[in-house]
Amino acid sequence: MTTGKSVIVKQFPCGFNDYERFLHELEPYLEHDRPFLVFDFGEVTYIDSAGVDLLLSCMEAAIKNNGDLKLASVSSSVQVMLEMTRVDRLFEIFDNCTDAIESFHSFSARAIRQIESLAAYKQLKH
Amino acid sequence: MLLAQLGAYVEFTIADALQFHNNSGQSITPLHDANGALAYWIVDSARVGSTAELLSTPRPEHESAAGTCLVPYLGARYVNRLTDAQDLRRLVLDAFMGRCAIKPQGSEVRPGIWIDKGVHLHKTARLVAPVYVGHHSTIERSVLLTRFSNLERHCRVGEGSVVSHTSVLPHTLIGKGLDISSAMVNGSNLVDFRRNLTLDICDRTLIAQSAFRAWRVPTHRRRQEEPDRKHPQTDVEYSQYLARAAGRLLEAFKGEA
Repeated sequence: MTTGKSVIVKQFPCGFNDYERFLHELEPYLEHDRPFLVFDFGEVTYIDSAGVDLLLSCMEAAIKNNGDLKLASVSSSVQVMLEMTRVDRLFEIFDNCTDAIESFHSFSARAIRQIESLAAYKQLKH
Repeated sequence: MLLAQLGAYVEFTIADALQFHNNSGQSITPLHDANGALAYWIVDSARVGSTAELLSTPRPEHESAAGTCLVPYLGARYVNRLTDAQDLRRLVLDAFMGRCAIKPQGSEVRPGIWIDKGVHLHKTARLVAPVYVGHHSTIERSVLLTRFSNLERHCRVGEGSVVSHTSVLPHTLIGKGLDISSAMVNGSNLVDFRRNLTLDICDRTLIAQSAFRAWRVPTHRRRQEEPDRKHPQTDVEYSQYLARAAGRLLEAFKGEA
C-alpha cells in the first residue's frame, strides 16, 4: 500500500523544561487534518512521567484528527521506561526516522523494532 | 497425483517437485524437510503397481511398501508442522513478516493494518500495525489491538481490553478491561506462551465462545456437555443484571440508611 502523505519529524525534547515549548511548537501540526508525526528520540536518554504524558497527549491529538504518531531511534533506556509504563504497545517504534517515515506509506514488518516480538518468536521456537 | 495428510503447512514449487519426481524415476516421492517426513507424497498413479502400495504410507526410513528406498524431495521453501498452538502462532508471525506466502485477507486500510469486510470498529479503538481483523468481528470502545495480533472472524473484543502479540481464533469473545499478551485464545481456552500453560476459563465474562459457534453444535450434544446449565443467557448478561439490581436496591434503601 502506497499513499502520498506529508510526514512531520520532530526531535523529542530531552528534558522537562522543554516540554511546554515543544507542545507549543507542535500545536499547529496537531490541529491539521490527518497529522502524520514522527518523534525522533535520537538525543533522548531519559523520559519521565511528564514526557510519557506528553507522548500520550500528542498521540491522542493526532488520532483525534485521523492522523498517527510513530517513534524513532528510541534508546534502550527510554524503551525500558516505555515498556514499564506499557506505553510502548501504543506506538510503532522504528530504528530510524527514515523507516518511520516510510511506514506511513507502506508496511514493512522488518522495519519495526521488534525487541519484544523477536523475543516472543524465539520463545516460541524453544 | 499429490497426496497430502492434513497437518503440516508446506510451501513448495509443484513444478520443481514434479521435475524431481520424474528425474528420480520412482513411483512415490515423499516430501521431507530437515526434521523428517512431511506427510506429502507425489504419486505416479500409472506406475503404482497396486492399490495396496498406493495406500501404504512410506516409512520414515524412506522405504516403500515394496521395500525399495525412496529418495525424498527436500525443496520445500517454507514448512510449519502445525503440531501445537505455538506452531500456529509462529505461522501468524511469519505471515505478518512475509516469511511465508500467506497474506492477510481484507483491505489494508493503513499500512500494516488489514481489516476484512463487516468489521465493527469503534472510533476510539487503537490498532497498531501489524494487525489483522477478520470479517464480522467487533472491536469495542478504547480497545488496543497491537503488534502482530490477529483477530479472526466473528470475534468480539470488549471495551478497554488490550490484545498484544496474541492470536484470537474464530468465534471468540473477549470481555471488558482485559490485558491479553503473548497468547492464543480459542473460545474459553487460553494458551499463555510466556508461561507455557493452557487455561480453560469458565467465567464467560472473561473469554468465551460466541453464541454463533455454540449454535452450530448439535443441541443434544450441547445438553450432554452442559447438563447443569438451565438458562441460555450468558454470565455477562447475568452480571449486568445483578449490577443494575444492586443499584436499584441502593436507591430504594438510601432513605432508610
